[in-house]
Amino acid sequence: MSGSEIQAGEAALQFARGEMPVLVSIEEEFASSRPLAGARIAGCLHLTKETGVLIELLHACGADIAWTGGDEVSTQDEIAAALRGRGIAIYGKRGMTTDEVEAEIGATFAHHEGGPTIIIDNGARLIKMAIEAPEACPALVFATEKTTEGCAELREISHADPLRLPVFLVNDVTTKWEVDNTYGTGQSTIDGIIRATGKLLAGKAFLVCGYGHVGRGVAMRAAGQGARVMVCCRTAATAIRATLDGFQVLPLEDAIARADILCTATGRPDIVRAEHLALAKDGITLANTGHSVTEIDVTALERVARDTTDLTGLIRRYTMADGRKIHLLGRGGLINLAAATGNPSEVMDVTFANQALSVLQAAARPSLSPGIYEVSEEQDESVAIRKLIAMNVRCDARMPEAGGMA
Amino acid sequence: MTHQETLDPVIETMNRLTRASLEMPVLGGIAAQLGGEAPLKGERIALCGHITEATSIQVRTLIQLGAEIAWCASSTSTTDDAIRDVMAGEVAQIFGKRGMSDADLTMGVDEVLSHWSDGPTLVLDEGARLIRALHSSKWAGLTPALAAEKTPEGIGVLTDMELRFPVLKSDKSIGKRLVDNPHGTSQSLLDTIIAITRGLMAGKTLLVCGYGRVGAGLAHKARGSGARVLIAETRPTRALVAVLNGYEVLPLTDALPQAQILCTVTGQEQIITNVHFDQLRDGAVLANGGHLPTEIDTKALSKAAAESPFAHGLTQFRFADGRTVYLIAGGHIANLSVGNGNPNEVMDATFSSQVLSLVMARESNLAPGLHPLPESSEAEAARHIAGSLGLDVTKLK
Repeated sequence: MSGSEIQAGEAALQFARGEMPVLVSIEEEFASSRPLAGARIAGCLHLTKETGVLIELLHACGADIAWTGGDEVSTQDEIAAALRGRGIAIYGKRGMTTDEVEAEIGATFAHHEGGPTIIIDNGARLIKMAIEAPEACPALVFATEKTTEGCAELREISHADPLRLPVFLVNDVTTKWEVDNTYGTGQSTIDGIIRATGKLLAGKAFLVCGYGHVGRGVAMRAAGQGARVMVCCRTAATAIRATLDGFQVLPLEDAIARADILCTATGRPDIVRAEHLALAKDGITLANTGHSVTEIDVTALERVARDTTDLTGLIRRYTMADGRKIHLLGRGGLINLAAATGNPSEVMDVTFANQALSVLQAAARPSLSPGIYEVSEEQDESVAIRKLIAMNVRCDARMPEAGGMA
Repeated sequence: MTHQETLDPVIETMNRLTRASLEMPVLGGIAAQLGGEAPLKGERIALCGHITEATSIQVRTLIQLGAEIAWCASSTSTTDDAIRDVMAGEVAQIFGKRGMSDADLTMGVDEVLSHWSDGPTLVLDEGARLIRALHSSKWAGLTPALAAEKTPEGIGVLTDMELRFPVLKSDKSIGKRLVDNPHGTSQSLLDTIIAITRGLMAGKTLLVCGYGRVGAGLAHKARGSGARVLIAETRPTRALVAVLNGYEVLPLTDALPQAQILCTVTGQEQIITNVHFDQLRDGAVLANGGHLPTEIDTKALSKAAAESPFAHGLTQFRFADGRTVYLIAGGHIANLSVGNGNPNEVMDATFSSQVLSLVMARESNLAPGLHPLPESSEAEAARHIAGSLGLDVTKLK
């Protein structure tokens, strides 16, 4: 790692800290008592500058840390360099193959002598390793998971077979769903699509697959830019919600034939498949902002295409046998991370505040029985109050005096 | 026939019910799907609810599913007398009159519970009137198999009671959460405010007190009409969401001097009280969209200012310093009191959850106490509602 890379990373972290007053306030409140001294953390979460600020907080609280980004495209090498410079073990780099990603997650899990005591997860990657190989982490105290899909998967696992470790699901709270998913990802997804393509959204037929918190945010922002928004839904409830919000709800096979831009936001694999690609409008742009790279079946696209050309580093053009062109952005990975800078730091501030408080509060408990834990309403409100103060909003919410936050 | 000609009143009422049934395709769909099996055959349903067009369509659906109905009014002021007269020919019992007394409401409850010697097998309640009566010594001999309560206030009362039979909490049904609260109530509130004030919304400053599902819907629709919307909210998470939706969120005391129209939608008591009256802007219009007439302290307002009727649905209050403010519907829930209430198609979604939950929960032998609506009936209700919106859910991916 070069000196200039470390310098760039330090500057980025410094900038992010300025945008993350909630996380900084938590660090200032807790770090001096070093509540995580002796803890061995294994983390798997996109390694951006914002995650860097979270890692700094955990480090300042006394933890020994090993971390990996957990996906192919999102690791920021300069942040990794800056953090390595402080003695934090960082695994992985920007631009990895799926196999390399897996290997780095494994290395992160295996990093600590005696195994990790705390797992901080995104997509339940490390947690599933801990479930499969409990002998590799005999000292594990608890884990946190922050994605909707990871939480759903863990709930499913726990129904079949009770979890043998305590897992905090840091997702089902207003400050995560609304702030991060709807407003954060909603904006950064549109930002990523515009940056990658340079397209004007006004007047475009924009198809959003999925109308959860993220899909709703993307649809709202696309409509705000003047796009004509269509939505594909899997459940009747989301279909009703999208319809009453004024969006046209259609089956994917009908909608894809009319869409200029398609964005998946479902959190589920294999949404756009070969049979849909066969119907796609000529010139369509495909993007994904769901959790993984699997929402658009890229393998099928590779298979059926007659010709493949990289138009830019972010746009791959597939020419179908019948001559239609399909443009895939960022290889089907998360477009807001691949083409833009992910969620705004001030959004991640709120998400990571929930992570940090969950870790700090769980670590402070004398004993934890195995099973699933949810974020308390009090913590959700505490994070909201900290954010309102940071945004300088005065209102009738129970605001503590400055300096003595909830 | 030209539009000036008058219809026979009974035919007109029948036509209103026909029109309502067209506006309520979800209930119609349920009746068409399940009516043949008559899943409620032999059931005696005691129903406490507004005697209106919309409830009549729910009642007809229950009858089509095989049930017998005894029906009493849930409110002194909402009975549609013409509807009652028509429905009297279709139900076993109906009791209610516009402008009835509170004592009459209690009498209605007694009439319904005493209609069958063995009492009702099922109870559909509003404000927990029937369920509370069934827990008094007078009706201790009657035990229905299942009841449902649809207001949050009624659920609140029941939460503190030891119940003798299972009660479904239908206040948070999918129809309420997805359709009624965010779209139905908020649209009809805005509609009522516009109709009563006869004002232009564009450019008006509207203060919404409470940013829950109804408040968020009202703010959104008012903004769509061109109003400048201010939000007062005490819950930090909801305040943050309002900020992120681009609203100006500020303390109530700072917002009041700016507000030309104010609407409370908090579900709490004593939101606008004595301490706020000095800050009200001259000419301000005050409305309440919450269920109970306690969000604006109207008694205190009557004491603080000279009160006089002003126009349909509006009372004028003149303060000693010369400022005048106007109160819609005396502080009662504005859209139900002086507006058209929820559109029938909204009540369709709400009632459908209730009907399906009765049919589906009956089979699961629930223990006495409060229960959430069954997931299976909620999913079925969602499928029916989606169908009524023209969404083919079998094709959704």
